Amino acid sequence: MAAGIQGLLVAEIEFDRRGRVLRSTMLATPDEKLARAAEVCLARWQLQPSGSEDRSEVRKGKVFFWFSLAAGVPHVFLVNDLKQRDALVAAGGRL
Amino acid sequence: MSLDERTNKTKLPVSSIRRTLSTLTLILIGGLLLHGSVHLHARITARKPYSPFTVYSEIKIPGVSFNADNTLVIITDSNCHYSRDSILFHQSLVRQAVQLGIASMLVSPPKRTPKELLSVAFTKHVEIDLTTIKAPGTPSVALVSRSARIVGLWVGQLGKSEQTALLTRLDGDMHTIHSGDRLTGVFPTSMVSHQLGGSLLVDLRARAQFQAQHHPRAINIPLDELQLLMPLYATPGASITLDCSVIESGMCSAAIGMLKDVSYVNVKALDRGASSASCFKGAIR
Repeated sequence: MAAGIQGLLVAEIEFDRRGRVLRSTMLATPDEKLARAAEVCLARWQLQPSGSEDRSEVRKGKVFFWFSLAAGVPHVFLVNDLKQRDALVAAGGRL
Repeated sequence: MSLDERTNKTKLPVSSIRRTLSTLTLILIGGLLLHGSVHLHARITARKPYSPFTVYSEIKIPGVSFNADNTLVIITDSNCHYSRDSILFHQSLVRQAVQLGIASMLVSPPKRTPKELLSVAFTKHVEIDLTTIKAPGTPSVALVSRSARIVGLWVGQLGKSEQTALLTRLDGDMHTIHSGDRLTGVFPTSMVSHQLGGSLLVDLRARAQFQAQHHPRAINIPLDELQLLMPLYATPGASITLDCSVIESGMCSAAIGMLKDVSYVNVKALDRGASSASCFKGAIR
């Protein structure tokens, strides 16, 4: 973001039964460096282990990050979190 | 001559006849296959002239210019039973067009206009050999823009849902699409741009499909991300047009419903029409 890059990054992430990241795939990114940084960040994510009655072995979903620079200050919003998304919209963060 | 000698003598011609018969059979089968393929080829090539009459292509009717923003063109033929069965629908279509101030044009082969349509207030009536305009079949309904470009094409006798889609398309309201008429070409940049106005055109396909080909004004929000991401692109009051010309009707309807659920009320869909049973041979030729 120091390079003035901003925009939406979309990643698909898979977790195993224990809640550990199996793999993450970048679906869209405003910049390659951001994608690599996001990949490193996502590798550290951990979910609650799924219950014994839970049949699914793998949990999979999309994660949306919005990177922005407002008055030179970098911000990262997790768009999946509706509060963060609405805060982003209220701050004028429209594409 | 012994019996054996006679038998041998008579055996030779029998096997020879068998061989000749087999050869003749092979020749006959080969001939039939060849005839069939020639016939099939003739049928395929016979349909070629109709292909240019497609969505986003330019409609060319000798002596006719398209000056209105939108013109409803009905192509019909009294000799075609699909056309005759569509008369009531065509009448209501034109009534709707008149109410909305949309120009309407009736196109039919000379002396083959269904008499029930003669009393209908079409803006223009053209009698012409339908092969010269490369009509895709009868009946056909085309929505034509000011630049004479076909922006919607419904071929054949339409079902109730298709009729409703077409009727609602006239006033620019929400409408659905049908998968019979798929996009194969490149999007012309001028296509429907005047119709979009300031509306945000949204392509709902997956990113890879979008990157391969899309309308130059379209943004990409895959269907499963629509509710979450739409607020990043537009306020609930904004005009949104979904590019339903490239997806299945179910996806389009689902997307409209999803957006309405999160208060986007000004949602339209861009469709391409439908294909159904129509008259090709006999009626047009």
